[in-house]
Amino acid sequence: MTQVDVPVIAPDRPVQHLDHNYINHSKGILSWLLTLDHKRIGLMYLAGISASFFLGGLFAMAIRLELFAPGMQFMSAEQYNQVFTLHGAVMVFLFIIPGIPAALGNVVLPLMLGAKDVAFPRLNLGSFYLWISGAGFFVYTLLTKGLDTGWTFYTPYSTTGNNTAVISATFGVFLLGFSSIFTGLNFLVTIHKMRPPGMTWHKLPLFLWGMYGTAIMQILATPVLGITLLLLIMESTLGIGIFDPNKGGDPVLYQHFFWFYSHPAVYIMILPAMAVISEVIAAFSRKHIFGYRMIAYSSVSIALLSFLVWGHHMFVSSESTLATLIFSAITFSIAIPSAIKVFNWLATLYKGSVALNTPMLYALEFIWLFTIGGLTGLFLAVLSTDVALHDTYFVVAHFHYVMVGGTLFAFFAGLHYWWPKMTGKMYSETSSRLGSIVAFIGFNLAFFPQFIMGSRGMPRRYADYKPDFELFHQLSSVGTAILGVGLAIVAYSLVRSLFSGKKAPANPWGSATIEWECPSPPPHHNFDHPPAATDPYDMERVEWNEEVGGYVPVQGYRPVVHH
Amino acid sequence: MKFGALSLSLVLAAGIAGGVTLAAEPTSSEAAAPAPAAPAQDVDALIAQYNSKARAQALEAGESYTYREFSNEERGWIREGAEAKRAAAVDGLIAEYNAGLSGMPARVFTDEEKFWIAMALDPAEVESVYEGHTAIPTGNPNKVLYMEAGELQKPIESDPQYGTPPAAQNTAPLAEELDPALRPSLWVPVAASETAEEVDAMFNFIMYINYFFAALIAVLMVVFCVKYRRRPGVRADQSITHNTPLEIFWSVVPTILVAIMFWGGYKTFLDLRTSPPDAMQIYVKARQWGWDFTYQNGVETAGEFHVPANTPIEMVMTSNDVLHSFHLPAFRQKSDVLPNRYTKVWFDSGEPRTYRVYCSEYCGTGHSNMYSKLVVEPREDYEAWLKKEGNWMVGPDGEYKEPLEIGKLTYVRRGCNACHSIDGKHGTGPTFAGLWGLERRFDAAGDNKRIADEDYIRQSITDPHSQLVYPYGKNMSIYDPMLPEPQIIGMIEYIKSLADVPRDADAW
Repeated sequence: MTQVDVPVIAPDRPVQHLDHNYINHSKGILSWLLTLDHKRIGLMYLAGISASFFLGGLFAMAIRLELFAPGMQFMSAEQYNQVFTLHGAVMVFLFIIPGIPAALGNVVLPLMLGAKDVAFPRLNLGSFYLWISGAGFFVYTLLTKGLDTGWTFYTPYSTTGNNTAVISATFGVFLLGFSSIFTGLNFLVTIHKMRPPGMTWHKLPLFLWGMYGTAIMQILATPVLGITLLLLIMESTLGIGIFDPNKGGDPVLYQHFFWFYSHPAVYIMILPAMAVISEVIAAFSRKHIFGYRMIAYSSVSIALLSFLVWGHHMFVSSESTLATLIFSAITFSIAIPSAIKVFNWLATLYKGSVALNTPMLYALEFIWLFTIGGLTGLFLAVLSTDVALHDTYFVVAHFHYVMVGGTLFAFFAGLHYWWPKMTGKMYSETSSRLGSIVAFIGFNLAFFPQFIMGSRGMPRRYADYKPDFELFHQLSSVGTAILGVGLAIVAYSLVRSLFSGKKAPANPWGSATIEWECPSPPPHHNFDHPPAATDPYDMERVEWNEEVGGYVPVQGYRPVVHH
Repeated sequence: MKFGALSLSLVLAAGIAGGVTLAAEPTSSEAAAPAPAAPAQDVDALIAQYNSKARAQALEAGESYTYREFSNEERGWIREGAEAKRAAAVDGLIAEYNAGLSGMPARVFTDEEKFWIAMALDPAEVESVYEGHTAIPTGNPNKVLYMEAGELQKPIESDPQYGTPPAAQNTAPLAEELDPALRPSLWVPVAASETAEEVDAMFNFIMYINYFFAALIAVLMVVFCVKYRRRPGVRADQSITHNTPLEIFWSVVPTILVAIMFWGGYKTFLDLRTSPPDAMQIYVKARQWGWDFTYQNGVETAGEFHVPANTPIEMVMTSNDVLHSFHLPAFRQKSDVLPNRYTKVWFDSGEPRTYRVYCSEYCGTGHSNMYSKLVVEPREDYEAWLKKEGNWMVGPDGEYKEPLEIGKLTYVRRGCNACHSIDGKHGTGPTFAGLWGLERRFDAAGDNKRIADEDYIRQSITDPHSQLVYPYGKNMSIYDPMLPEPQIIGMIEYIKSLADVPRDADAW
């Protein structure tokens, strides 16, 4: 370790809380609807995404209620098929994919760079309205037509019969796709061009590395989905044979197109989640993240490898043996960077100063759930066991552990971590921790039994099942109810903080990244002076200050440079 | 069970007579009500039992055995003999049941119910068929009215030939693979073949690795969080930022483990996908929502399929409509079934047992009812079954059955019942009840319409999408090749016979 001369960051006692901030900067509904402020756009996304999550959650409850006992309870098979389709489609397209990047990313990304806004603020607002329009088409489909194809829209089921709902729903997804592309483009350019002085690529906070990898995938993969859905619409409306064998098409071609987008999309969902966890684990351990470069490179390698594994969704879809061999091998190669991240997070805890605040609780829960999700993925990457497990509840459990246990819990980790910054309010640790723990218990009870019934053969997307599987379905339904209670507590705690939470300091957690240097909530223009960047995980450069009830920069601090 | 002794005596008698003449002579009918004719398959079952026993005896004696065929005359003797004894036995069972009611008025059974009793149901079980309903006999022996919630419901016409009581429809076969005694572990169903055991070996290997890493990560997480919890005056050790040897170690070890998994999984996958050259092929056609099987001798069967024990079987599969997936958990086998190409799975059938087949690729409304049953049985039983299946349109007299009978059987065997009800309720397709002679409208306004006559029904079977009744969609399978002529005629007759059954107002 060497002491070297670097620009010393020594601002005067910073302002902690601003009464005049971005939230009350201007008034009136139009000042929100036409805003170009990334923070306000982020909050609007947060509202939309939360509404979508609530809607998708209601569908989930309906599914588990129907499956509580064998035989049909209160839905017909048609209704069940529509409900599971809407649950999947709403959760994937309206919540998980945009959740962390669009809602949290929009608020945090420019702040983390010390920038005034994203590179293209108007495009950013455009993305939001594309999202709203896409969501609108979804809700329209929901209210007027029965969409029952599953969120994957597999052909030829989606192009035959009287599936007019498919057209409006896929057009909605098409618009959502453009929203995603524009957001990715915006973030990519922002990270490239608007980094503050001193923020070299190797001083980029890991959240930004994750967002960068996500942006690459959003820009390169989503157009394929757009084209695919256009082809699907052309086939249904114009009768051009592309996927429907009755018209000379090939249904498996659709699966190739679909998963060429949707596999990277899986990483569009999980990479931002991992990025959030890296920030939270380091902040609440008050310790430099372990293996910074490995985490950063693993984000980019996951982003690139994610384009080469789509075929693992099709091991039993008549894929050739050679293709299965190649896709299985590449799939394992993508498992390694994920494993590395988990080990790095654990090593960050080692000899840290660990505080179990709500965001950290979510991050630890994430590590457990993501570990289960990742390890059970091995069964599905191995060709022989995948043949047995494909399209069973084992797969359902696996991707819920990754998407919900992973992305949702990371979303909550990030939401609670940046909540003081976004709203200027502190929530009650007691009720938020309680909500987190109840949700964690409920989640495990809801989805772990699904592994067992899946490996015993229970296929997915069944409106009804044989009594052999009753016990597992009932455990799962009870777990879902507990999960619902947990989420209600979480929502209660956050909403209550808006009204009665105490004012948040600029840096309540002791993080070293730049977004904590501006007051909470930030002013409209974010920073009075462009901040300079140092190592984002040099936790010693801030210290606890009793007077302000938060962390403040150490006066005259000289960073220790690690090699 | 109840007829075990009966058939045994028959077989013994047949054995003593050398199989040339049968001892059972028709006795004078002592039964009060005329029992319905014993169906052909019962005669077949008795013959199969006879052959099975005789074969076993021959093998024990070190002799070869050829399957004993029975002439139609002989079959008639068997049938009548069984029928007379059966009628008596059924009456005895009913008397026993009524005696057990102690004080309550005796239960009168319809001819149809008597038939069910003859087929194996207990009188008490017959009652359970109507669980929640009160059965009311009618003059028609094949019609049962029932009460539900105090209201008289529409008559259910069930099919005595097929013998399926209304409430028992769509019941899946027992899944022996899920029997706790046969399951090798908490996680998986019975492994029915060596290949399945290979898959399980890999499954267990990965599971142990999962247990190890999950435990390791959980323990480290908890220990670190407790040991290094935030305490006043204690700072985090900022000197630990990375450790290259450690990071290489924890990258290389998982890489080696997944390389082992990958290679082992690939090898077994080749076993799952490469059938032995002597495998017996069965052609499979999946449709919304059922499975049709065609054997190499041209015999077609639906709903369930039988295979001989300890034989490699290759399923050559294609779909009539959308994607399906042939999912056989006990053999750890699965493949999607596509409308535009053949896919194949194979399995070594192993010991005699019954397994469930699922459709595991989402295919629409009836997806969760798209089961089939795989029956693995001794070769001679399999051969008898195949023979019986091949002759399902032929009566015990060796002649074709009446068109109406063929129609009733076609309705079930071809899976029409998955979408078209006969009780007046509308399903994925229009109900057959009261369809005959009805005006069919092909648009909302009714500008485009047609009377449901023979021509209409024929075209609806052979080219259903050419005349879609409003507002139904293009859901029906196009039968390619179309149904054989006797079955089309049978369907016309069957729909004709349902002309007077009332249909619901919303069953267009």
